[in-house]
Amino acid sequence: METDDVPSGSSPAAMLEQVVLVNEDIKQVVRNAFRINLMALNAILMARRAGSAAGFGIVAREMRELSEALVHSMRTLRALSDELLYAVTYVMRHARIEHVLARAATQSTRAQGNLREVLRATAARRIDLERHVAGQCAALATDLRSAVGISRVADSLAHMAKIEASWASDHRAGLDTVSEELASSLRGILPLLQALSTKLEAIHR
Amino acid sequence: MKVAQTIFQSGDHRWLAITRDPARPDYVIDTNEYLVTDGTQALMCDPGGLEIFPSVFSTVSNECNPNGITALFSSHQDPDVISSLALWLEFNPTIRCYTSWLWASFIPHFGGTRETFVPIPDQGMPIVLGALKLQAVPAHYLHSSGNFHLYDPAARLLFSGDVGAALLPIDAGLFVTDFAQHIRHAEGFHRRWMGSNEAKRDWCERAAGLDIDLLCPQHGAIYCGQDVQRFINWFDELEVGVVDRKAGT
Repeated sequence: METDDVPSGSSPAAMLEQVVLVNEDIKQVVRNAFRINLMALNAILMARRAGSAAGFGIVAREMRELSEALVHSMRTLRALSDELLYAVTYVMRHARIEHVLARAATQSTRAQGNLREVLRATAARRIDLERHVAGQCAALATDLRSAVGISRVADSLAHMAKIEASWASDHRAGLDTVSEELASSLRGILPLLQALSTKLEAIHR
Repeated sequence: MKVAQTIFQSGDHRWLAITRDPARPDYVIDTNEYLVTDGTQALMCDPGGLEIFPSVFSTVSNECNPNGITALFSSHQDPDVISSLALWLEFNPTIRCYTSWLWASFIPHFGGTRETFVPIPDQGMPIVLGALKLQAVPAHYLHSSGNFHLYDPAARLLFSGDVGAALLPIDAGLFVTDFAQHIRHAEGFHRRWMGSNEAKRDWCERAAGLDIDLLCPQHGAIYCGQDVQRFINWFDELEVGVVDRKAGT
């Protein structure tokens, strides 16, 4: 995924279909990440209200910082996904034109001769465009890996928050609930991110 | 990329305007595309030209799942209206295209098969999308000889194709805010492109009988509230089918 190899073995339309699925998943993950960020803020407020839960407060602040990093990563992911979608759509448009030209070239030897240079240039342009798409797939994969890393750390923090919540003397039930919600949301986001990486690899392949 | 803005929403029923592409080359006329959705199903009005397909598709994908687009409505046969058809069909070959019966064998030059097209008879027809019952409203000779608009009675919205179009600067707002100022950008277009005073009068009477809050043209800005009636009155009085010989080159 790190190289800018030209994706092959898939028609532009099929590739677009896969990219649309990836884009839909990214929209879902971004929504979840924003929710986690709000939950982390809520955890800080709960810790302040609980007063005595100093350990929980520290973990909650760390969690908030991480979730903001996650949101930032999601914004990048969203922007990259938009760019990828645009690029693949552009490839599809180009492929359509190339296909029509190729069909014209099969009509007669003279047509073939007249269109030879055009077809060569069109094919070269397509390869450039496909390289560009491959580069964008790679950038998206890098950002996904970073998001997975952040989510894993956040997941560990959510577990720590649960432990800290159990030590709190005031508002223990509330702290328990908020840390459980955080842990559960993070558990949900990780498989989505991993599934996305797999789908992206399938596109690149 | 173009800008998407929700112009009507009631539960799952939504109209989205896709407008103003800052990256559009200035030799390509600016177009508005409209997407009506009911839950997961969507219909696209005048999906646009081949040149702007990447921009339209990406913008739509930001707002909804494009797999939900089951139908296209082509008000007429112009390239800025429907020349992207082949690309929509590459993405989803089961998409159906509603258009005037008059153009059902011309538009396939842009792509599609016999199965793609749902020919609309001259008197119009209902178009069902999920729980919505839309209506193809005749607008023949405005400007095309086989021309339809799309009315959504629940949203009180009329997609009016080239009627109401204005050639505006790229930074113009989505809605008409000063009718007198705006209509100057529409006058030359309507005089030249609309071919028949009789057809125009027919359309004005038909439109006046509809309950319309939003009149949404394919170019320019959207007329809302009282500006809808102002536009119909203005259009009714305008002499159309006129060539300005001094302006023509």
